Formats: sequence, C-alpha cells, structure tokens
Amino acid sequence: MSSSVEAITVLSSDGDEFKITVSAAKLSKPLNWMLEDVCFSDDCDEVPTIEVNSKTLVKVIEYCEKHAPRANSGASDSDAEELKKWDIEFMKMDVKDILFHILMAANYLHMEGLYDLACQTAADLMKGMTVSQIRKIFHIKNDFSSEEQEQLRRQHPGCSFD
Amino acid sequence: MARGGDNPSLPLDVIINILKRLPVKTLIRFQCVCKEWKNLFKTPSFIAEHSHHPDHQNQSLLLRGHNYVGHKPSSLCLLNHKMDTLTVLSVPFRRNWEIIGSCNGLLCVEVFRDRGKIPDFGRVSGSLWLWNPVTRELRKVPDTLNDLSYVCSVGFGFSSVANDYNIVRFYNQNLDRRKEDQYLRFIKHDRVEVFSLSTGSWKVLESEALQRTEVFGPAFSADGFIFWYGYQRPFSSSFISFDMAREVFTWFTLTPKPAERSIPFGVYQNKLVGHVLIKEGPGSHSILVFMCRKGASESGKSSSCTQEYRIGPISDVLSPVCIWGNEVVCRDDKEDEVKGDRNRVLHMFNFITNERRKFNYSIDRDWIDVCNYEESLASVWNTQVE
Repeated sequence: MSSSVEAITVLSSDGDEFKITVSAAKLSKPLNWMLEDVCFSDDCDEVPTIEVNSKTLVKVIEYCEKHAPRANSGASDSDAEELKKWDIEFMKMDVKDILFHILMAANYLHMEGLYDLACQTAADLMKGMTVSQIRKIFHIKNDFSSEEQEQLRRQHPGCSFD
Repeated sequence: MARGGDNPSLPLDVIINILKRLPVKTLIRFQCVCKEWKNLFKTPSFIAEHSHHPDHQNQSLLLRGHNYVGHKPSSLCLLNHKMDTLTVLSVPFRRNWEIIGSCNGLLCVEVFRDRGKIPDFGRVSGSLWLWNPVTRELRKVPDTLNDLSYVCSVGFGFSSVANDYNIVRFYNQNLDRRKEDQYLRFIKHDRVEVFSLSTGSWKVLESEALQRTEVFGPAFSADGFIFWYGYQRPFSSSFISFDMAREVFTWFTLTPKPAERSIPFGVYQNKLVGHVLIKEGPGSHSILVFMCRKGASESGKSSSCTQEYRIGPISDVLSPVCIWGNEVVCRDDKEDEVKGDRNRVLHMFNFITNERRKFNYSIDRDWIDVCNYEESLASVWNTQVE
C-alpha cells in the first residue's frame, strides 16, 4: 500500500541495495518521479537503479535524510545554523576520491542544495591549489605552446604553469 | 557515470558552476591551466555569470597615490571589502594619469601628454584608455578630430540596458587645449561626443537640453546614467544626466536645494547620493548623506533630494570622498611622515549602523584619490552577451 510506505529501496550502479525514506527522496526530482511511477506494493519486485556508485549514494542518502525534515516542514533559524555546521562537516571529503562523484550525482539527481554546496566546496578547495594540481584533478593537459606560455607570463608576471 | 574511486571528468556546465565562484585573482592564475579555460574566462556569458555571483558583489576601493610636482607617475592599490588585503596593482602608464571613472570592473583613465604635468583648471585633454587593472587588459580609446580642443568634462559609465560602456566628452572647439591662459571655470561646450565600447567609435551627440547649460567637474555614473554638475542660464546650479541606453540628456535641479553649495557625489545602491561634512560647532562636525531620486516630479526637470542620514558628531575635520557599501569613506588629510612614506588614515562611517572603522596605510605619494571598484573579468574589447 503506497500510503503506508515510508522507505523505498533503490539499487546503486554497483548493484547494492539502499533504503531511502520517502520524505528524503523528495529532495530529488528524479527520485520523486520514481515515487509516483514505481510500484511499492510487496509483490512488486522491480527495484529502481540509480546511476550512482555505492560509496557516493551512501553520502547522498545521508544528506537527504539530514535535510529532509527542514525541506519538508521549514525550520527555525537555529536549525538552519545547525544544518550549516553539519554541511561543513559533511563536505570534509577528498576531492579526488568522492567530491566530484557527489557533484555528478547531485547534478544527475537535480538536487539543487547539494549541487550548490558541492560546487562551493570544490571552489574553496581549488583556491589553494596550484595549476598542475588543478590539471590533475580535472584530467586536463597543458596545451599551451612555449611561445604562448611566454606571452602569458609577460602579461601576468606572477603566473605559473606548474 | 564513472565507477570506482577515480574522480570522474566533469561536464563543462558543472566546471563553469564551480569556476564562477572563484575570485578574479584565482581565475587569472587558472588561465594557465589550458586554452579552453583561458578562452572561457574571456567569453561574455562567463564574465556576466561570474560578476552576478553573490560572492563577487562586494566592492573594493582603489587608492590612487599621486604627486603634484615631479615626474613620479601615479600608483594604484586595491583594498578589498574586508579591509584585510591591500594589493599593489601594476600600472602600465609611464606618464602621469588619473581616473576619469570606474564602472563595472573597468576604469577609464586619462594619461597626460606632458610628462609629470597635471592640468590646473578645466580639463586639458590627454589620451583616454580603458583598463581592467586586475586582468591587465588595456585599450587605447581612439583620438578624434577634436583632440586638440578644450575638454570641459569627461564622463564614463556602464548601462546594463544597452550592455555597453560609454565615454562622454564635452568640448569647446574654439579654445585650444595647448594654451596656458584658460583658467575660466565655466567654459561653454559647443560639441558633445560619445564613445561606445561595443562599436569602438565616437559619434557626435546633439542635444536641445544642453543649449544653455554648462558642465563642469567630475562625472558620476549610476544605474545606466552619467551625471555632471552644471549651470543652467540664468545662473542656477543644476545637474545633467545622460541616459546611456536612450542617448538622451536631461537637466534637473535638486529640490529642496541642499544648503551647501558644492556637495561631493557618489553612488549608493546604484542611485546618486551626495555626502558632505558640515560644521556644527567648535570641534564638532557631522556628515550628511543625501539621496537623489529622479522621476515623479513634473516634466522630469526636478529631482527630489532628501537628507537620509546624519553621521556624527565627529571631532576631526575629514573629507568625505566616496560611498562604499553602507559607509562614507573619509580622507584624513593630516599626515605623519616616516622615512619618506606618509602614514595616512581612511575613516569609514557606516550610516546604517553608525559603526566607525579605520584603515591605516602608508604611501610614498603626496596625495591619494579614492574610488569604488568592482573586481571583474570585464573585457575592454567586448561586452556583448550573446
């Protein structure tokens, strides 16, 4: 009975099963659509697959469950303050290992709040990085010729290609 | 989507969403990452998206240090909104120069033709340049046939409606800028020209509204308009506004007329405001802030000017120089010389909260000018967003 369902089961791209509460799933448009389209009765054996790997999906669900009460009912200023602190802790993660996956997942799942938070976290981390570190995490090759590098250096004397 | 622990390659729209949050200084460093990024930072759509991001709405201050005599060209420093970083900017001009206007990330600069010489009264034309001091882009504004004429005033502004920067020059073609004996304060202009950054050329403007009006002093820009002080014959002080999108001049008076004869003007929340220090008693001063509102009044010839804020009492004699966020920035002209550097103070008075803060700095120049500046990637070449 859909009215009694409080959690849905989804599969990660690695094939692992995850439970997400209905109220938390509402933070994502595609997940919300699944609530409408997918059969939740006991005899329904089709479990929807989310194209997000297990490691990332754990984090995404954690975010959804935390933010769901506020998103669904509104919250006081002190809650908002507490949630902000929680977000900062939540985002303490490795760029290479998981942050970009979270970004992709938030983009794919249309989760505006998480997408914005992840973009800002990435931007803040990038401020302290060298050009070669940036190239590495974004898989970018230095495609400037030595003449072009020389020209840029003349224009911006402090600038570095490393 | 990529699986496993390796970081995936992000699509360009996600990368743009991250990059638009970075300060201009960092983006300039990241030009060196690859050609795609370097070109991206020059596209009008990225420049606009970047400048509209809330993190980049804070205004900085530019401090231009200059000498009255001698050959030392002006220096330029950028003070961020938190007042914790003062960056010395590299100046490309070898001759002396000054800022005509600062708007939406670009400066319009006049470089004097005679090394070290500053014109006394009225405006003797130098060459005009558009300059983004942060990205270091520089563009010479083409000279016109009237380049040897006497220039009464120059204004610079940006219109978001027209999505273009304009320079407006008032000339008198019969006076020669090279003559030294023209100390008259009010010289009637007989020609007005406007330069558009997007077309890259000057054109003559005709205006009935300016037939009996003389312009003088520096110009201010706000909300798609450029403003000048003016005199409307028979003598009454007035203002002239130029609507950059419609290319229309209007003159207007302020009512009620502020008691002080000459009020320095600035911009607050994209509106014209006046700010002035008045003496209220021995050793007691106040700063008054006026707001000017256009429209509403009949025929558009009058603009209401109401006193909105009073700051004080203040014991020092300070010179209000500009509005910065919710603060009036005042120069303290007393100086304290140590080893050739002059220690100076800027006082900031918040007219909403009445808080007061100070910025101490030293500079090896005689004098400083202060103006607002929004750090941006704005290009001196192209402003059109697709």
